[in-house]
Amino acid sequence: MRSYKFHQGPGNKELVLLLTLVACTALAFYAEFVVHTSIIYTHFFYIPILLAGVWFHKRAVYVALGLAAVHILVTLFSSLPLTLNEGARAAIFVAVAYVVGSVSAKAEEERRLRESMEKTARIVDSSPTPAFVIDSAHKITHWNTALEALTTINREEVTGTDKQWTPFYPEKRPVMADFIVDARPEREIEELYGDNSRKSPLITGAYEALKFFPTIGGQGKWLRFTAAPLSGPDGDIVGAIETLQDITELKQAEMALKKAYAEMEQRVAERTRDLTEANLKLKELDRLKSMFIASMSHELRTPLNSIIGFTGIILMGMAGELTEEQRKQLTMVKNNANQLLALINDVIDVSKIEAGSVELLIEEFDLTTLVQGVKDSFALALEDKGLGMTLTMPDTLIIKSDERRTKQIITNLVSNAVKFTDNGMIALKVVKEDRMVEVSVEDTGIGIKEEDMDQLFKAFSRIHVEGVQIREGTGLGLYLSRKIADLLGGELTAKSEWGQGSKFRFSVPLNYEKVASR
Amino acid sequence: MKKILVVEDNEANRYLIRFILSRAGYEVLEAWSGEEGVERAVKEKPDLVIMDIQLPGIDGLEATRRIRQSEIDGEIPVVALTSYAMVGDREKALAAGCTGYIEKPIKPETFMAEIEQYF
Repeated sequence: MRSYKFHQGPGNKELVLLLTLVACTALAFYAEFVVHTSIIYTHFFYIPILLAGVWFHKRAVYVALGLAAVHILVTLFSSLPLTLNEGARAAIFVAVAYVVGSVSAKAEEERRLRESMEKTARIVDSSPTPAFVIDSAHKITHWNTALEALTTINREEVTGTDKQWTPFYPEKRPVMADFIVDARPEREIEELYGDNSRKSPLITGAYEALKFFPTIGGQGKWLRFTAAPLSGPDGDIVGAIETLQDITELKQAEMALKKAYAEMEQRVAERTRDLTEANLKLKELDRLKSMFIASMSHELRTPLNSIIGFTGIILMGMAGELTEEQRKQLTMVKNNANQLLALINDVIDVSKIEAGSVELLIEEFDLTTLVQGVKDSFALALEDKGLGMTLTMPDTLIIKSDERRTKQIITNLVSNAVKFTDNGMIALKVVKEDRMVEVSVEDTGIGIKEEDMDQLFKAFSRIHVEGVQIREGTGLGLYLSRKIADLLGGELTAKSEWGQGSKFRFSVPLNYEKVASR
Repeated sequence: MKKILVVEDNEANRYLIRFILSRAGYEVLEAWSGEEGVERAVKEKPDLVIMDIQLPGIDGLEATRRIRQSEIDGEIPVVALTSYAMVGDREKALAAGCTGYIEKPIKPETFMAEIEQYF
């Protein structure tokens, strides 16, 4: 609370006093100099002194002193003898004026204070915020209805006592308002309430704090309490008002929020841990799978290598002469062993592709040499079937890609063409384009029915057409070829007409790295 | 008679290679592990080594490196037997000091021609 000092112009009191003073002075001069009457009239001067004393308290003393001086001067100039008697009388008047003035001043001050306190009481009482007021002697002067409701302690029980601690603490101790009344140092307040207290940002000299009071309201309550000093007319602290806000719900909500947040954080942490573990497991599984593939590829192929090798030796006649029937059967063994080896290689490729762990080996190589090599490797098969193959390509064509994988795709396409063509021609073409090269294989074979086209590039799908002899194969060739073509940054497409033949186009970037970094 | 050391852990394959080589008129030395291969190569100085890559103990790459370290002058040609499915086997073999490589499975029809280009 602030004490306001208003500047006011002369009020009625001052006006009456002034007029009285003028009248009395005039009367006194008239008596003294005009009619030369008795000295007693000079005492009219002292009437305003008494009035001033009653009305203006301390100020009356100065008026009295001033008039006494005037009296003495007037007496001197009027060439009247200044008697001791006269001086003593002036002194007595001054003393009387002083006493009357100060008694009256004291009474006025008390009245004002009482009025101010009563006004405070009315404000405090009508406030919906629980509040109490103590005076400078720490005695409760006000205890409002809202506080009665909060503490279940009636004002009659505590007013006039210093029991403001009773609802809050199990034993007697100062409350915030007590500290404020005594204007204790901040340090003491902070020591008592810790981090939960602070200087009020709004009210000078006020403090606020936050605390849980287990004894209030059965379950205990969180209160935010603010104590502010009450100043008297001359600025002294004459009391303190403390308001208490029940913030239990707010605090509970805050704590629930904190708890939920902590729980969420914990859950996130748990989830992260789970995921990290799962990730480690996956990495371990991935490692095991890679090991498995590497190991299987070795273990499965090693015996096949011997089978293929020895069959070759025997077929070459290095181990002795063979009968025609033995040669025929051994050739079947060899072909099947080769097919099994191809299947194993394909399955390993599929598992690598599906695990995304295909390693490419990008280097420069001459594509025309590669294509020529593929064509040459089918010379015997073409001759057996009585098929012709044309090859159209530039003299040389250096590209940067994975040579082995490129060869795998072209070999697969030519192999399919040879496999599914019984009469006619196979046309192999290499055409350099802007940034790509297209290798196409066109045959005059059995072709593919339109409804079977979408099965063409699926893993393990083998298209069976009634009346058409089943050709050997794994059903993985085109699936792998398309996947590898994608990996190389190219594409593999097919066009076909049932009974007329097929055309497969494999296009691949001339420079894998330029495409990859695009 | 030229000596060829075959370092190969699989007995059947070792026999197959020895059969082809001896028919072609070579003296064949055998080792079944990388360590033994290095020892025989250093001691008996064959004219050529056929080195399988996947071996028990030290692999064919490490064995080749050790053979190269032991040499003061001249190099014994070391031909690696690589596996088609193992990407990078060829490159690793050449990096380890192999002279060349032959891809498995061994094709008896072309095997000798492939070997003889490395002498």
